[in-house]
Amino acid sequence: MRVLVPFKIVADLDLLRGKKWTITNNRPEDPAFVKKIINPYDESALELALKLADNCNKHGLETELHALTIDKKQADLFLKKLIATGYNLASRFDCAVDLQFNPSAKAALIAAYLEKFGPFDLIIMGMQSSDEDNAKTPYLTAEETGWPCISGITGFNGCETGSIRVFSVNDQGTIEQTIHPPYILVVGNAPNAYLRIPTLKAIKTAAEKEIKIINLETFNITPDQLNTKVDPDLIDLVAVDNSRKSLLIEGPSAEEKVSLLYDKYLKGRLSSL
Amino acid sequence: MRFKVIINACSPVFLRRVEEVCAFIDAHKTLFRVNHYTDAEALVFYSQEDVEEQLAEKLPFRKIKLIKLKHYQPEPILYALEELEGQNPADLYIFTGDLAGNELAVRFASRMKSSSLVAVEKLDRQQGNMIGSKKVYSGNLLGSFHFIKKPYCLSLARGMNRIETSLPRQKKNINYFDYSTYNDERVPVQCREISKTEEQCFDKAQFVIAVGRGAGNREAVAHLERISRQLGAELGVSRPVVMNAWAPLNRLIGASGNVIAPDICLALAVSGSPPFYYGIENSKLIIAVNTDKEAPLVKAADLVIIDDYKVIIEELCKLIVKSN
Repeated sequence: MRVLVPFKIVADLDLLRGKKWTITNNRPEDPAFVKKIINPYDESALELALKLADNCNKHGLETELHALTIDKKQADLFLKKLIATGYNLASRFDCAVDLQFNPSAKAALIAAYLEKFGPFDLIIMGMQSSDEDNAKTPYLTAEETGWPCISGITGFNGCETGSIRVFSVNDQGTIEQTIHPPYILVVGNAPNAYLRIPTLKAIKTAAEKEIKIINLETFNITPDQLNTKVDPDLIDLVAVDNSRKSLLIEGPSAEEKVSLLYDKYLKGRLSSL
Repeated sequence: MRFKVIINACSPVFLRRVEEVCAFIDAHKTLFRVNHYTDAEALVFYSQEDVEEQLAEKLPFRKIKLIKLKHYQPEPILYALEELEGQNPADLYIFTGDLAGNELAVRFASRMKSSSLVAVEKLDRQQGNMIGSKKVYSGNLLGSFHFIKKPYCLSLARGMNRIETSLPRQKKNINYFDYSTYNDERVPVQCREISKTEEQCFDKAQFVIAVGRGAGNREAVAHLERISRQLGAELGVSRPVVMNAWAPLNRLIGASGNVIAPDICLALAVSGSPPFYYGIENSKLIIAVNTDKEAPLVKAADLVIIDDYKVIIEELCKLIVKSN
């Protein structure tokens, strides 16, 4: 079974909470200066793919895992780490075009990768990124490829027959479905899906492996073709101020702090509930 | 402007989504050129015959297309939408603020070669252009997007305002369509509902105790759940708590979980990442208890106690129980 996991490197926005943001030409400057992480939903997708491979191996089914990101060289450290965790191939799409808020272009590039380096059986991807929050790329990929997709994935198991048992949570509830690839599985809030930590030996081995670099020429795609896919177009970006009073309740002991909190702010409210 | 709403009534909580859509329409009456949400035309997908009459009774729209499916799957819904709307589409389609709404809005727009935007909070018309606003960068920024191609397809943000809705049965014009025989060999070969979404546990919650990763472990979260019950509060958790499987997913508060609006939100050991804050920002009173005075939630709370949450909740529990 060949599995493609597209993922994104994002700024750790938790580190910017409550800070003043600087916006230039409808792009925030601040994320460029903070630590980078794998987008949390994508991290779950990457780990679930590894778990699927573990499960398939138990049943004697061979798997080949590809990780793909559209980014600059800064992503290579993450790609090496993924090879160390068990990915067979890590590819980086070196794209000079600004694809922020252009999920249609990203979906088109994923579909192009699929066509050139396929066939694949599964695409597993996170449901949205923590920066752009488009929440569209997986669904547009489904439309580009013509593959069906299931969203809200929380886990899955490989079966002996090559079919996959998939668990998802949506407004309806928790659903178990058995699917036959090809499929796009869109990962939501999946418990116990933090990316595994590779061994030191695996990290050393991975350091010697090549990362596959691809670019627009690989697919005969021009920057203009990607730029025309922007729809809707971001025309304004402003900071949201969520700050409140932040009144500090102080006292010599925890007991006195709680007493003050209860008497002054909670007692009346709780009695009226 | 001709607009329509798309409702997934296969969901047990669809009426909540209908109320959100109706509040959104009422907030944009001038833009939509309608007097009332009842003027909207709705396409409603359902999967159980026995709710047909209930749907006809409860849906608050004058024109309704009731579309029967075998069970919820995006593929037959998209197929039906293309067939029913493809030839003469409206200018705008409003989808609900849930996963299904997001997926259907994006994929239907893709098939119609038009614009889509997910998690929209507000619509506006500026110089003849349709502009949708939504939170980006994990709720830190508000982006305004210009829709380019009709029909514009949007899904609402989670946890939007709701209004109580009603319309007498005799004022409704209902047409029935059957797509339950739709056959696509690509859709899952087996589908089993493990558990149904119950009435949202936070719907009527006036007091919520929200717990973050700082709780430390599953046992601590279980203990806090017992305390919450004792105090008449609902327990909510942040995403790391769910990711560590210390609490079930239906307790998740945040942009991808429950968006709550209680009178009191007591946040224990929660750092307060932007997606979590999105879930509690409508609370009337936010109290943050944390040992870290630099935690983001400290700045976004009304009241702050810098201390060990375990000591604070035990003391608070004693006071509340004593006063009862």
